[in-house]
Amino acid sequence: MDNARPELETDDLHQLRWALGNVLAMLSASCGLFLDLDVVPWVLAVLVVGVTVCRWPTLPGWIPSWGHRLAFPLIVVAVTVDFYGGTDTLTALVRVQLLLLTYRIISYRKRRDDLQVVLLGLFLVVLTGVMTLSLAFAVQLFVFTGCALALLLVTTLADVTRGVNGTADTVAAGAGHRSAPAWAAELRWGRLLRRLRSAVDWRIVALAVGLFGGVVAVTAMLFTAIPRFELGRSFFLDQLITKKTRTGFSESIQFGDVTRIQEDTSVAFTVDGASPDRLPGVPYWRMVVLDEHRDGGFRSSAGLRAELARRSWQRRAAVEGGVTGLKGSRERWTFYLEPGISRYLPLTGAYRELRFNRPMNFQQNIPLRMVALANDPSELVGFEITGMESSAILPDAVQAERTREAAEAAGLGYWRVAASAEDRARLKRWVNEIQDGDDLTAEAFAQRAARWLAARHRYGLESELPAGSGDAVVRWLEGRGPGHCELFAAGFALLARTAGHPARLVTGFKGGSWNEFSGSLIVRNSMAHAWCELWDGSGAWIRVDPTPGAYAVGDPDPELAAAQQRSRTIDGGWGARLDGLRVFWYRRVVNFDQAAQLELVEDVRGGVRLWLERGRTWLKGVSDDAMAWVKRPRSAEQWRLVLIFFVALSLSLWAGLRWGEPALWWLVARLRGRGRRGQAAVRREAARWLRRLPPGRGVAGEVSRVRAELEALRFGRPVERDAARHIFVRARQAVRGARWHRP
Amino acid sequence: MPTSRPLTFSDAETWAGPGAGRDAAGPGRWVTLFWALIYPPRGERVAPTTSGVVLISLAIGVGTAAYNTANNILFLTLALLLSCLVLSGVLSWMNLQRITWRVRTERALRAGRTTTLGLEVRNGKRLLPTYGLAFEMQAGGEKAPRVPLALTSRLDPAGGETCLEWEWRPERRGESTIVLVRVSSLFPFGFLKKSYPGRLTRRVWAWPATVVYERHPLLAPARRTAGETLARVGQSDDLLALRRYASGDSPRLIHWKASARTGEWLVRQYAAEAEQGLSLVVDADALRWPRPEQLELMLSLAATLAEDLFREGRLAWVEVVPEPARRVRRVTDLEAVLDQLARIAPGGETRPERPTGQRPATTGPGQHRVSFVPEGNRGVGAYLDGQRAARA
Repeated sequence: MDNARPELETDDLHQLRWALGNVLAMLSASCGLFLDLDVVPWVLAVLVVGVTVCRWPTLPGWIPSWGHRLAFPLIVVAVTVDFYGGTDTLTALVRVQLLLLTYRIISYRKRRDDLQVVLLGLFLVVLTGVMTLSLAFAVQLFVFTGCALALLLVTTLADVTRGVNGTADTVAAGAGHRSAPAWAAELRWGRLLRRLRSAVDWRIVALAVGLFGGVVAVTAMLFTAIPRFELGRSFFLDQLITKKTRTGFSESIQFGDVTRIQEDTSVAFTVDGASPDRLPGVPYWRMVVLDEHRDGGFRSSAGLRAELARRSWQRRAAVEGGVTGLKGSRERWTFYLEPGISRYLPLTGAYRELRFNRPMNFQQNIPLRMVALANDPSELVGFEITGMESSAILPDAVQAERTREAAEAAGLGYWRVAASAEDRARLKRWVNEIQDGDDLTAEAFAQRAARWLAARHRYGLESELPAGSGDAVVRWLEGRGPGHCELFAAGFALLARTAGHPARLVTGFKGGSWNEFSGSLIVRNSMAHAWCELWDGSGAWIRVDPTPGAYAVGDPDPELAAAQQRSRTIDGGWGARLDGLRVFWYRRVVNFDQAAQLELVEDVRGGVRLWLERGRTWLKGVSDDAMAWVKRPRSAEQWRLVLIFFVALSLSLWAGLRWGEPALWWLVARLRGRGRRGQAAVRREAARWLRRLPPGRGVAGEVSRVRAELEALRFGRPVERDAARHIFVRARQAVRGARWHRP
Repeated sequence: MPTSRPLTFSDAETWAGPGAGRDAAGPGRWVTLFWALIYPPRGERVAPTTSGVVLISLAIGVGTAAYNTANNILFLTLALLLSCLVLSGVLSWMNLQRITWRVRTERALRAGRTTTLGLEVRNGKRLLPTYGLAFEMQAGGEKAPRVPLALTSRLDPAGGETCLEWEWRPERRGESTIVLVRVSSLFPFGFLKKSYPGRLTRRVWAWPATVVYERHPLLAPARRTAGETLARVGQSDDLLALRRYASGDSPRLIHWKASARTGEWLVRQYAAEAEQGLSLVVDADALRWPRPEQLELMLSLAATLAEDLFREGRLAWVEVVPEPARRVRRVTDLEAVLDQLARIAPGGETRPERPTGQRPATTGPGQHRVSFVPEGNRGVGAYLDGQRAARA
């Protein structure tokens, strides 16, 4: 019988509330694992404590009352020590949250404590979302919401019954626990799950799932409908932590940094809105220019950093990027740079306009084609670039007008080889070997040097450096061992500078895979690369990629470029779907701003207008057809049929509106009432209840009334099951009452 | 002044609530609902609880931060908080849908005597159970204390019923109202307290209270008049009817012939012996009873006396002036008399004094009349044919 579902007792509700609260606390604490903060041991401690307490729910009862009194003072002391001990403010804040959650896990909670768990958890989840902007946040938020709503629902139900039974405060006497409530002492997870399963109607569960889907839908609607206007645009959370870049794309790199990045296959940035036909087959995403050779590595010289800092923007959302005029692309690419990659933006060349999704502090140098944010971003950075060039030839008017002396006086290191005399001699010997006595142009030298390097070294992530002293790159050049892109690029730069050609190292990313699900280019950390730019002596830097397997100098010819486009990697499978979902998240949620909202409104308005226009056209067609049909000559018999038809139609409509729903339910009841669940089943059930409720038991008046109704069901006229249901409910209540009134 | 409205309890069967009558499902239901969202019905209130205030404050804080930072994560959180509030409202509305309630009382309420009242609640929804309703009852007037009742168990769908009981003692005789002032619910999340006007007022009548009175020998049972019997079971010699034998019946009562004829044991029932009955005359004229408390005492004495005399089988007639006298044969007659006494309003209109010794036309011949007279400022005396027979 449907109504025979047992009801959860007060103790069951308290046990369920306890379980949900602990799950919620652990779920929100686990968000700390996604934060780039030093809280992982704390999170693990919360999880261990949570699991332990769930396994032995009476453990909190052993905490003495003075322990509870001292809890908050101790937490305050711990936080103060942590805060003044040099920890980041945000890290200290998260640790406080975790401590409070731990305390709530190991104590028996009341309603307000459950509310506190919800608030603490929400803070952690939102903080994680704000700091990471990742797609995982959406999942966390909605799972958290589901758990929190379930917790609040159970808490409300438990509170309703607690007022009557008062079991929340009862203490298990003689159970060996100091102050564990009875429900905790009796908690058996298997039994609770079985009771829960028997008490819950699957239709209610389906309805709950549907309602939660409705919540998600309403959230999406509200999210897009909330008007966007920014009051201050001062984001505070990212100022509470010490910034550090996880990758090697900084002003100073050591050999191996880029190679280490290549071992990471996660997404570095996504380019959305680019047409696959206009994207170069193998794009080079420039991020950092390194000009100074020093201490066996390359770094950005003080002069280059000064040039970059010369054009600093404060709280600016858009700048021009050196491309003007009518020629060139006007395609707009949207970049989503993952947090922790670099403060340097990936660019393929000059551009018309760069626009951030919010005002930023940054530095920009147009001749260098570099843009650097003021700080390493700990959150996703979204920006749009319009009309970006992707040529391998980078004109530089500033450099063209500058002499070597002036450049060196400015601190630029395009010519400098910081090596010993012995190493310089070796480099000179190899340059002579490359030039072979010819007076080569920069481009010709680059071609020969690249071939020379490829003939002596093969590519490999594991490089082999001959033992000995001296510059590491020179030692690598001297040997025949494999090397990675940094060594090839650095070796080429040293050879070019020895030959008298200004050269610089560039780090960034090369290539990208096309995601068909999202229609965007995904660039992963494994695509990190280093290459060179060589001054051609006449006003431009030429890209030279000496790493074997890449096109060496300048732009590839059109046929090769087309072939590269065709052979671009296409992402497929579930990983690509996930990447597509991530792009959707960035595009529609993270990067949703006032312009996007207006665009959406325009789209909706256009769509509505289109549908209205279609509807109007359809109505006009229908009315025209109807008028033509009416005007058609008919006999009196035909008119009578028409009249009958319309009267019948009107009556049907009226009857449908008036009795449609009841008739539908009647039909459903009839269909459900057939066979075993039909009238015979109602009579059998009535007989069962009559046997369980003999006269003379319970409250006399009520029992006799229920018995009379049951006898009417048993022997009287047929009654639908739905109509009989409430009688069975009363019979059950009478049986229960009879137990209480048993003499 | 006594009302002319017949005292019935038909409104006891009236169901009220969202699922009753016009509010129940019908063609205009969705239109009504939509209109109710724009213009809430009178009396319906939604008030945030402490949790709700925290949630709303949180939403305001998150919204402020979202606008301050233009961070879409915060906008998403804000949207989620708001939609949770919407969900809370929807579930609360669903919880109250098709719920009906009615008040159940005992047939007879008596001033000064505690009685058990019941609030029957029925869930008319097809699928969804109902949880956590709180009812606020008020019995005995607007100044009476309100009694909270709570639905602590699940109310199953498709006609699930429960009865919430509480005790009430009518303080005074006459008409009282039992009002379901408000129905409220914290369901589902405890953010909002939704209140729904009960729209249920039950009028009940309380009979006069019983009083302790001093009874004089004059009211002792009188000598029976031979030969007169009543049409009720008694101990006279007149056969009234035959009935089946029951355990404890005297074998001397067995009607042997009828038993032999029918094949089962039948015993004789004799009619009750008639005695010279008493006629109670209750005149609540304002001139005679200027003090309300004295009037109440008189009515209580009359009611108590009527019950006692009926129990002794000596009450024949009761006349509540100016209504015609009523013959009292059965319990229902006595209840009707008590209802009449309950309906007498204090300070009613005055009537010309009936000449002394004139009997009402409806009383039987030879009836002894018991009338009530004020004694002093507080007492009441009952006089049998002009002689004091009882005093309260």
